[in-house]
Amino acid sequence: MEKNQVLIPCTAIDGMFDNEYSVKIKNKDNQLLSFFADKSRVVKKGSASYLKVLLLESRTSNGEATTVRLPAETFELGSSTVEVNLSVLSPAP
Amino acid sequence: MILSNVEILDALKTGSIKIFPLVNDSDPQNPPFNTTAIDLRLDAKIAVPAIPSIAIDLRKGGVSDVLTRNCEKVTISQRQPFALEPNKFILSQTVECVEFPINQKNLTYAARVEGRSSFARCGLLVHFTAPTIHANFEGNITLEIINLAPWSINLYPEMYICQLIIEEVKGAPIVTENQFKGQQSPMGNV
Repeated sequence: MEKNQVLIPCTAIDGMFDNEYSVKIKNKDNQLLSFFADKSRVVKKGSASYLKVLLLESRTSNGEATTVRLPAETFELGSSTVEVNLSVLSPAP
Repeated sequence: MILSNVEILDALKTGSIKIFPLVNDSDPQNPPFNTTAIDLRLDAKIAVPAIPSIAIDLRKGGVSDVLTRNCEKVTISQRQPFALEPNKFILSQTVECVEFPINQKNLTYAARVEGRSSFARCGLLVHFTAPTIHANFEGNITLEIINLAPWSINLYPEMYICQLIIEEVKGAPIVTENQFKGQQSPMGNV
C-alpha cells in the first residue's frame, strides 16, 4: 500500500478507451467534477466505486475538509488538487 | 538536457523510466529509436466524436461523461484502417505505456510528445496541445489527432505516429511533503 493514498467515493463508467473510466466526484462544496482515470485507480465495492487519491496531509484547510490530489486534472476546474470532506475518506487497500 | 538514444536505453535499463512494450529494447540504432527521441505507435482503438451539434460547458460537472457518451469507439486494423477526413478530429492512445517516476537517488525525467515531421508535412497533427509528459506520469499517452490537409489520411494500428523527447528534470519534484519519508527504494513513495 502506498503511503498517503486514500479512497474517495466516485461514480465510474467506461471511458473513451478500454483502459480508462470516466470518473465523477464531488468536492467539499458539492460541486461535480469529472475526468478520465486509468481503471487501476478505481476500486469497486459492490455497486459503489471509490477512487484512489493522494492525501496532501499538510494542506488540511479546517477540521472538516482536506486536500487530495487526483490522478488527472478535472475538466471543470482544470486542477488535479481538490478539497473534499474528511468524512468521505476511507483507507486505500 | 535531451537524452540521446543511448541515454534513453540506459534510463530504461535502470528503471528510471519505463516504456513498454518495445519492439526493440537493446539497439539504439534501430527503430523505435532516433538519435534523440523514441517513436511510439498508434493503438488500434480510436474514439471518434459522434454528434457534432452539442455545446460543451466546461463549467458544468460531468464533462468526461459527455465526451464518453458522444464518441464512437472504433477498432482499426491493417486491413481496415481509419480514413481521417480533412478537418476531422479523433482521439487515440499510444500502444506503449510510459512511466516517469520521481526518483530521489537517481535522475528524474520528463518528456514531450511531438509529431513526426513527415506526417506534419501531410497535414496530420497528433498532439497539438499540452505535449509535456510530466514526472510522476504513468499510462498510455492520449493523442489528439487532427487532419489539416485537404485530403484524407489513412491511420493504421501500430504505425509510428509520434515521438517522445525525453529530458532530465533538475531536482526531484515534490508531490507531497513526506513523499520520501521512510522510503526503501529510489522510487520513493509516490
